[in-house]
Amino acid sequence: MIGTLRPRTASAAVLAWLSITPALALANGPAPVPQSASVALRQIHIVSNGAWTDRISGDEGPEHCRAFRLTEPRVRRILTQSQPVTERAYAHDLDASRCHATGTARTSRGGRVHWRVDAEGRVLLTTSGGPVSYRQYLGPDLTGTRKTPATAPR
Amino acid sequence: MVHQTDCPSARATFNAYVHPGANGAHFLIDRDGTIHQTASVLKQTWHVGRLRARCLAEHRCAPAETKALLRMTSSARNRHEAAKSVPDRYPSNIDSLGIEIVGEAHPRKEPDPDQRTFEPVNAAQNASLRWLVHALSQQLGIPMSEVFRHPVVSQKNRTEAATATWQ
Repeated sequence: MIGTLRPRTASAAVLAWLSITPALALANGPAPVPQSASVALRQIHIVSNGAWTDRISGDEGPEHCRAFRLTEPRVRRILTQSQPVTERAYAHDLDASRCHATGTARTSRGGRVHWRVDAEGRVLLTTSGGPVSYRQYLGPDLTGTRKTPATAPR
Repeated sequence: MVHQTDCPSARATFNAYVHPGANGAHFLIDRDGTIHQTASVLKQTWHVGRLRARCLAEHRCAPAETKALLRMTSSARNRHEAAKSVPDRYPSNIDSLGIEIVGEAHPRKEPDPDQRTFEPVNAAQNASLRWLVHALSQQLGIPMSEVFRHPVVSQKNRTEAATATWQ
């Protein structure tokens, strides 16, 4: 159910469904792959595109990351098709990228989700003081090649 | 290749290793400096990830290769590097040994792991790391210049193993 699209309404008011992991994902040690209720997303807003961080090792400079630009439909596809991974996989096992985009999404319950997608397909969903979800997008959109699932050798 | 586990204890790391498809390394250094061998040095383990371009980091790529590498996706760059031999590329899963050091990145309440900083490698851990690296270097003929922190070789949280010392 996680990351699965539900049938769209005629008004397309409900555009996408995905899950938010309980806050216990922040507990020490490896977190289990989350299983939780789905939340509908109504609107997706891009706050930053082509952003760069020096928290990750790599060869990309800020000028290189400027080319990493996502559109709202692309973000929607990434969020809905991404798969949950453990916090440990996100933080330690998966390759990361200095290049990323951030934004928000409105849920059908009136809440706001903050998202962050990096060029390696890592997806982070957070809410203010609430649940966190660690995910991986395996599709071809970001790098032009399909990625290796988190459970495979890194 | 020197790593930190992002786990609080050796036991938590062992627990992570039992999951199907789990990654792992050859050695694990606990907080008190105890060295556990977790795989035979004759076996391949999965601890590296996609390779960064060594010639870029060491400023010895030809201009055309520099240009091409900076345009490549990480998977294409990994394939490009894998076609080379050490020391023209960084060691990969097929020809490296992994040493994990128990240590977490903090603060744990920070939801974005990229914003966390790995705890310092303590004195007992660094003493054991020095002993182990030198023993492996002597026994297996590995040059000390071919020992790397994980973020040097792959795209990772750059604070991982930043305080590990083995010279």
